[in-house]
Amino acid sequence: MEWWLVLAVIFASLIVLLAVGVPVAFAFLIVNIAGAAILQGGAGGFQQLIHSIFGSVTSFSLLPIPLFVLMGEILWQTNIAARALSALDKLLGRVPGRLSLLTVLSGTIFAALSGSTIANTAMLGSLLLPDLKKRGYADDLSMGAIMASGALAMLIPPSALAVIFAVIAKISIGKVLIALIAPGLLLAAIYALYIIWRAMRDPTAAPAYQVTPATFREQMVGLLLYVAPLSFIVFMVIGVMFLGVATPTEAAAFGCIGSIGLATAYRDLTWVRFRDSIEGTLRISAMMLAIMACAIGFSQLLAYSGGSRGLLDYVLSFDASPVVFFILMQLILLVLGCFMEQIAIMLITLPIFMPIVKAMGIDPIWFAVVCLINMEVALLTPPFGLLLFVMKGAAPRVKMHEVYLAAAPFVLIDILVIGLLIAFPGVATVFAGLVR
Amino acid sequence: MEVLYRALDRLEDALAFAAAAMIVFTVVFVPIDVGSRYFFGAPITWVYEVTEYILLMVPCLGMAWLARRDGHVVIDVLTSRLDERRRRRLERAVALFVALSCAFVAWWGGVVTLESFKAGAIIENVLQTPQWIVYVAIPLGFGLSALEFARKGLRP
Repeated sequence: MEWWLVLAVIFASLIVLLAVGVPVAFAFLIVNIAGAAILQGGAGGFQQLIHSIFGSVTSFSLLPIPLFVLMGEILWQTNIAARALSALDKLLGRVPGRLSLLTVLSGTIFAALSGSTIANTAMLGSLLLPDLKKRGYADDLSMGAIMASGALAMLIPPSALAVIFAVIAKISIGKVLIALIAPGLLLAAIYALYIIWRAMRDPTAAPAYQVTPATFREQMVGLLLYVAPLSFIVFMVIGVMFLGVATPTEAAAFGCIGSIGLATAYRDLTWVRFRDSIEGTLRISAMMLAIMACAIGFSQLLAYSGGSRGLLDYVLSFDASPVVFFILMQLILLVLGCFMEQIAIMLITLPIFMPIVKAMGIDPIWFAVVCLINMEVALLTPPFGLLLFVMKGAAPRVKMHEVYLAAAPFVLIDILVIGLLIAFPGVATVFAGLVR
Repeated sequence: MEVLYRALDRLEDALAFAAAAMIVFTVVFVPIDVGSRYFFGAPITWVYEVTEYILLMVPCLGMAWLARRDGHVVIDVLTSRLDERRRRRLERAVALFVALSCAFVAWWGGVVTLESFKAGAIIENVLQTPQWIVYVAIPLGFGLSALEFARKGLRP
């Protein structure tokens, strides 16, 4: 059979399975079973499939997935975030769009403590949305700012999805995580600039309000007690990786110990909250790992069928510039992002994309960073962006199209930053080069 | 049937609890291992290995429990547009199909595990763990998931 026909059959059956509502993990599993039956001739192929389930997840480098999620769960279950937020509130002076800026600022900090976009967004929503609404902020400056800053948890390490990306793409997990810091902060800065610009141009969109000035003493106490200790956890994760003291997996374990330790120090971690954090962690990480276990065989299937090789040769025969392909691949991801969830997108596209990236001499870390920002956009694009629904859940009386519109300016900013990173790859790789 | 369903619930909960305990294990022992290596130059050699097995145990043991709570990601772009009655019918058919595929994997997982047991295969690493002890999570997890999806499919 021709390679393109094999490829078409494999992708078509996968898409049909996903479309009729087969859970992502099992859709990949079924395609792999069929592949083993047809291409690897029955019994031997099925035994191979079992070994590939074992081999695909028993890797120390995957451990950050549950650990990063646990960090987010602990932050979400305890009052660490609420306290830090009120301390930051006292520190921030009279600025245009004050509450929205507070949202971005705290969202960015929480992103460095949490690997879960859902938890981050839900948390920001419950902490800040009531106040934003009460003070009459426009939708994009309230809901939009919450969703955009919540989504930063996917980029700024700890980030479970970045780990999954690196594992599927077979590139350095540590380098991808470190590389994501600069673009993550850049995004946050541009969000802040947008908010200030918007609030200055249209003061009714972010009505100024009387801030009771906090005394210097209050500010310092808040800063030292509730904000500074967070930097300790950030150091435990990012710092030790940067210094080369620990691998990403070990850094993740330190981060968990840091979060649990801090929550205990605040006398915040009750038994019930601990149990709920662990249960939430099990739910999300078993879901992610089940997909990994069932789906890694998929890229082997593509390789075995000759499909990925055939497509690679075909693509290379075009002799176009790597940038053209880079942009083309990003466009494909952007479109898929409107309809699918991220892990599935990565599993489908990366076995095809990574050989192209390699053959064209594109820096894989640069590619990974741009792809991950692109996947972040997928959280915010209608009709099915995950965070849009998290937001809708936090604000039940708002109409869905209002949520869509609220996210729109931030989606544009994200796409702008993607363009920027394509034009200046240095921004994406500045930190990765420094890692030991 | 009710009794069987309740037994299934219990079993799923027990395995999920085991998976949760294993996550806690990694949080406790990985830093101890790193600390011991850096400060005393004495890594706890088996932590690394056990952690890798845990990464297979967590999804396998949690799989059926997760299925009961609809925790597996589904892309419902199209199915959410169907009317209630048709959607339910499709969901049930899909659940039965998934149950079959899980049963299939459980069967072959059982075959591989049994052969490994008979051959006395071990995983060449620090602990020299018998392979079947780790592999058995696959038939166990997928077997229970098959039952759970079958229940979803047969539910009136």
